[in-house]
Amino acid sequence: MLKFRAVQLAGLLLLSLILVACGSAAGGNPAPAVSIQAGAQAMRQALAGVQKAVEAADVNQAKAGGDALEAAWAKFEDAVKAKDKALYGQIEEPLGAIEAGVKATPMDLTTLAGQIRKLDGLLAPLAK
Amino acid sequence: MSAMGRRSLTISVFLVTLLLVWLAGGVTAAAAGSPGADLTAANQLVAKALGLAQQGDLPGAKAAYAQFTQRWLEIEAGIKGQSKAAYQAVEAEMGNVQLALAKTPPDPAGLITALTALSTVNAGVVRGEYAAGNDSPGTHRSVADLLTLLDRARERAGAGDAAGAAAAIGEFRQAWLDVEGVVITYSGKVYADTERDMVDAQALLTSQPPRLAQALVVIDRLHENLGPIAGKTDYNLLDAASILLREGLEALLVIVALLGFLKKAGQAEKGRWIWGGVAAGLGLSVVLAVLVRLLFGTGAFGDNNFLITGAAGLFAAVMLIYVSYWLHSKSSLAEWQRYIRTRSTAALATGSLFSLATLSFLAVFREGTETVLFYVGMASSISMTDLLLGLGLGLAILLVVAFVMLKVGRHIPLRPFFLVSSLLVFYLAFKFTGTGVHSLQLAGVLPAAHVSYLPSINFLSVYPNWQSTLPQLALLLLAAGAAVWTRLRDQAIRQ
Repeated sequence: MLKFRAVQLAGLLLLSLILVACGSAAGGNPAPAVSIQAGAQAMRQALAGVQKAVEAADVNQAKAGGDALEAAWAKFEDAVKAKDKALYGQIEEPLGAIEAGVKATPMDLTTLAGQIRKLDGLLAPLAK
Repeated sequence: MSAMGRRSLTISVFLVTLLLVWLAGGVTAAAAGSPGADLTAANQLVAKALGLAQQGDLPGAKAAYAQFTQRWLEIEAGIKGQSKAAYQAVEAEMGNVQLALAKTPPDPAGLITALTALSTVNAGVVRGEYAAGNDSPGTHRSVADLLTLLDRARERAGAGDAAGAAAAIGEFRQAWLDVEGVVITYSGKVYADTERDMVDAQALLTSQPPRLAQALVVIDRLHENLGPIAGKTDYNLLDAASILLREGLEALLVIVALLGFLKKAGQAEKGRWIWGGVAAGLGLSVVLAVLVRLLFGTGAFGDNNFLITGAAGLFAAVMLIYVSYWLHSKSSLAEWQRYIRTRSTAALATGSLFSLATLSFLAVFREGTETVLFYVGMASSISMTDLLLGLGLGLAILLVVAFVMLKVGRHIPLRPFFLVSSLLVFYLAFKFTGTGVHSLQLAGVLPAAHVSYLPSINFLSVYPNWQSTLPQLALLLLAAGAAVWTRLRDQAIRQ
């Protein structure tokens, strides 16, 4: 049973490490689910879907695309904010406009196209 | 207390402190900064932008609004922590303002409308109008709410939007703690299947490329399983008893195995160490559950609960593996003979006793908070008499089981006792490993890759993904190796 102590110490260390690691995750700043590069690539893909739907004036598809865009952004926005707060703010601008734009009736196709271009221009360097 | 015991005590106190600091971190994060006051101040910038827009000064309005967005970046985390629904409402209205500002030629009327709506939403957030239907303390999701989330996931997956569906399943997972008490009283199988399917659905939706068809099957199964429970709104005595029985049985098995060992070692009086661990586990579970209920809200605590279950489960599994090995080694001829010779004189070191206390603490604390939360959640839907009687009934059954096991254990000869105990403890270690990894997957700490050809066995906590199955397979190999080695050694002694 004396060997128990060694196991206990190893276990305590393991649990402490897990708790400390989890503590930072549980404190309101969850670790990014994907890297900035992968996130930006996925978001550009989602953005291309929105663009296609907007060009086809497909309201339902555009709305779904807006949701997908937000979901893709949620996966790495914290990482972008931590790295470059100004850029984060710049991305949120056209992103917010696009998300609102695809829900508006009727869709303002010209404004949406402009905002999609703007957002894509901001994401492109991150995706490389 | 020996120096070794003091050191063990210090380490354990450090660990518990670490746990409390970790949890307190969440409390501080939730309370810091007064999000309402921050938003009140920031909303003045929206009012300023609105005033300027109404005067026709669009560049001025744009500049004032830009100041608000800068401020928002600083305070959004506080609002999000307090209420996700409020955060989403503000962001949605900000999107409308951005859209109005982006229009060419400018759209003053649209901008005024959007700024007015944003100002109204901000004021509503400050007044706490977005408390309902989100993760803030006091809100409680029902099974019907979770079915709505599954509908959304199914609709998104059907439209080919894997990310949207995964987000809905993520929300489902977070809300799960609110309803698992209801589900568990309805059916242990549905409870276990749902916990498995949550991870599977997430894994299928987030795999590259997403496996949407399979994910839809899993989502449909979740819906089908939970559907009949949606109408269940009240509980009876048996429901209250069944929670304690289900959640308490595994902890009881660990405690009985440890007590049985102390009895066989002729040191039954040291049982107070084990009971001390049980009391500490129960105490911390109750304190934590009260804190969760008052400060976090169960939704916000959902992932942290999985972390506790996962970390404590894996830690307990590591300790149980050693206990199992130790017990098994005593069932071998050589070790048994040596043990018989020395056990009358050997006293257990305080460090070892502390290990036993830690193990019993973990066995209780692992699912203790969750169990207390189940009872707190059901308290409003059950009469006090039924609740107390149910708790009493569950406790009585557990005590009878413990009594019978200890009684039977006393009459089993030493070697078979060690063999049977080692098998029981190994089973628990095997199960805790599976549930531990699975809980960390539910918490989002570990990845899960669904593998369709792997089996799913509830009573062994085997799940269809390699991350939880591989450690269990490694355990089996380890156990087989230890058994063969012991056998070979016994044969050598006989010869």
